[in-house]
Amino acid sequence: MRSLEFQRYGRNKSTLINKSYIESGEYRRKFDQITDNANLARLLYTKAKEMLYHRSGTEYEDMYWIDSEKNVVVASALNEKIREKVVYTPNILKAITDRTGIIAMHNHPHSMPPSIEDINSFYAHGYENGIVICHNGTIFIYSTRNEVSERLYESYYSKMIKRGFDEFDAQLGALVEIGHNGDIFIREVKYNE
Amino acid sequence: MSETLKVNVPNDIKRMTIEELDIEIARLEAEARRRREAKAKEQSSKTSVMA
Repeated sequence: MRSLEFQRYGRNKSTLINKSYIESGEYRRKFDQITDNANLARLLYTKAKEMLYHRSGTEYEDMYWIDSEKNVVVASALNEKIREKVVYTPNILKAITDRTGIIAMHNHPHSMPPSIEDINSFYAHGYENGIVICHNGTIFIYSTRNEVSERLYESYYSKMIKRGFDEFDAQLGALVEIGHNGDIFIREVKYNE
Repeated sequence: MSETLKVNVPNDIKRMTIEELDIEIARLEAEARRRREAKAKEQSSKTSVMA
């Protein structure tokens, strides 16, 4: 019960958002690096901030599905009750199936890179782009052309752990290594002056 | 979608040395390459049929 209250009132210190950075011009301009379309960049930025403020201090994920051709939100998941997971309801599936140009954007409370589940969900749903909004202000953009073997990911990850990489770098490194074969594209969105 | 705080690795992979992991990675990459080639061939033959 105590841990549920803890989650509800957003007091998990390790997942509190970096408010001053999120409100900075630098953070805003990162979204201009994601797309040349100014309206789309503004929409992504607005929704990213909404999910960050909504989930700051918790371990829950929000998700938006955005039509990048029409610059509209076609579906959202904002009431998830399972930690670090988004459930695809029938309404969400109906909104995103057989649709092109979909950007799937969700938050990572602990600011970890996209997971192998994120990558393979991207492939399964045929998205245009995937965006992970981290609570520390980091943004990842990713895509894949094929389903990725979880065992391959686990093998690369294990190799990196054995080499002394920390959890974050091992997860990201595994995706980058798999990306060398051209399947996965992943990059951290940086601010360019 | 789900953030992963710590990757849950199967025990057999956990027990592998770096050298054994390199062999396993090479095997899995070769499988992935075969799947990509098969997929490309299938898409190419579909395009030929449509033409």
